[in-house]
Amino acid sequence: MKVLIIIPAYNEALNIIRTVDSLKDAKLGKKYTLDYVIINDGSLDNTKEICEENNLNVINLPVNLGIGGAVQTGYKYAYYNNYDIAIQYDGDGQHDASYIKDLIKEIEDGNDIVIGSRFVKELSEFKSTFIRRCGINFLSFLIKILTGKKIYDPTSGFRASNAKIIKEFAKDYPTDFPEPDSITKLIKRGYRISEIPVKMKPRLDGVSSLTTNIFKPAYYMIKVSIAIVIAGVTTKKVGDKNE
Amino acid sequence: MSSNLTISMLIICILGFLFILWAVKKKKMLFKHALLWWSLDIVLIILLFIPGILRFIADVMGIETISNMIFLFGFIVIVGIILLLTMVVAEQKSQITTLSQEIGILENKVRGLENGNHKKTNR
Repeated sequence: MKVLIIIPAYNEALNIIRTVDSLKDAKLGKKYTLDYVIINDGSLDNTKEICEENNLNVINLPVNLGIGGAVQTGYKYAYYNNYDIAIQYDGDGQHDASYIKDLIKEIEDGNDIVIGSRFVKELSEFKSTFIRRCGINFLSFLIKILTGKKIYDPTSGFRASNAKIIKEFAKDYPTDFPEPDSITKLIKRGYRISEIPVKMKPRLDGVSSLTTNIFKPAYYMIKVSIAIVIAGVTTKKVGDKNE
Repeated sequence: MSSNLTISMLIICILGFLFILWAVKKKKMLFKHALLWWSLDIVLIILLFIPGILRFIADVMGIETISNMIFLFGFIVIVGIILLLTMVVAEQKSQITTLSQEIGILENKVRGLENGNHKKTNR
């Protein structure tokens, strides 16, 4: 079974080698081949040079596409190379590779997409601010209203998908801050989604895309809420998923 | 309407027409967009010679002054064109995204082939 780890990276020169090294914690069985691909989203630092000097498998995007476009590149790569499972894994070292096997197991149990969630059961020691948590709860609530399904951590970027979803995402993926939007669409289209609890680590180096500017979180919330509502109201269930 | 005004407006319309023609020739404008501007230009010229049309439409719509009606229509046309342009921008953005992604994936493949012994990460 071919598994691809998609690592989107924008100005992650300080973290990227550590992130790739951390994948050895995945400890998968013999029947899996674990590959990775870094999507260097037009970084302004020397992410590109570091990846190439260390012979890391990197796709260098010629221009900055934003997180959605970068992650979609990974799904296209997975689709072209016939991977069975694709897993998004942040380039800043926040995700813990030891959970990869849990994500894969959920896919093998028949789920189409699995979210590594910070908030399922109170396992997480993830330090999140009160405000951020309120925001995530609100998005969670919105998705519940529109789809009837409770997703505890819709913003999580730690997700595994099977070949069907890889194909869907290769064709169509939302542009910016795409996680909650794409989750809503998938539920609406009738795909099976599950969530497993994971721990996340605080960032080691660099800055989060959401904390650089105080207006960004507010704008993010408005934008994502509207995107979720549109996705929830307009997406139709697919008639034959096995087409 | 005084004949002086009519003549100067006509000259502006003709200059506009010629400018669009020049832009199409120099490939600074798409032909389909040129058609849009030319039809606008022709409508203006027709109204210039038959101003009664304006009076008639204003009466039908219950607008007292013709100038108000012209501003209203002008505004609607301009907003319409801007809406069209934002759609064009969105289409181009999605094309650029796809191009960048495919270039990135190809470059990755080429580098893999050049290195020969590329890591097992590529098939």
